[in-house]
Amino acid sequence: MPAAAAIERPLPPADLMACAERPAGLPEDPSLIAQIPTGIRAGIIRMARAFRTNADGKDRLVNWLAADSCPAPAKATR
Amino acid sequence: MIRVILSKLRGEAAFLVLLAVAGAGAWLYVLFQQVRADRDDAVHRAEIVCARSGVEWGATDTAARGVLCARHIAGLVAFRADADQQTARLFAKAMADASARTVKDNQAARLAAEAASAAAIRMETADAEAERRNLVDREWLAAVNGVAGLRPPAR
Repeated sequence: MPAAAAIERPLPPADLMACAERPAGLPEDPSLIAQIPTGIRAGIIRMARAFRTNADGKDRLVNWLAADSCPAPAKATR
Repeated sequence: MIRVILSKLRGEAAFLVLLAVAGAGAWLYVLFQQVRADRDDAVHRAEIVCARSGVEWGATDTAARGVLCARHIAGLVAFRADADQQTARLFAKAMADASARTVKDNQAARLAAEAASAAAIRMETADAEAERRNLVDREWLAAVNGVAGLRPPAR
């Protein structure tokens, strides 16, 4: 007899279901001017790009498992 | 010749009637035996069907025979129909949920990709400028924040 029952899929532990942490970034102060070697600048950019990829991916994953848990990604950059 | 036979038969009329009645009786008896055999067979089959459904045929009271069993079987049929209906409803809901989830995630992925792409273009420009001036200024820092998807600190 094809009797189906709805089964709630168990969610991962709560600490894994937290939205991506997004701390404050670099200060955008007009008075702050620095000389940064090209290699270090490139490294900072790589880390920033990876941070966004990981954070967006984690938010999507959490939203996939539990809808509307994390804020939707911003529509456009500043 | 025929007349002789008829006159003889007229003498034995009572015996002939008795013979006819006995024949009819025997024929009825044979019919009754067949009917009884059929009936016993049908009841036996009904008992087997009821036993398969899990409820006894109920032998003691002739009027109540098979009532419980029939009710039980009707219940089984209703259960089957109900289970099918519930199953179809659950499957439909699960499919709708999965579809809605996919649509939502596709939208989120598209927005994130668009934002990341715009930030990357801005970063390229700002970094080329920083490379040219050998100085990192507000524009470059803001572009890094944009690539990371972060806001600057409040102060």
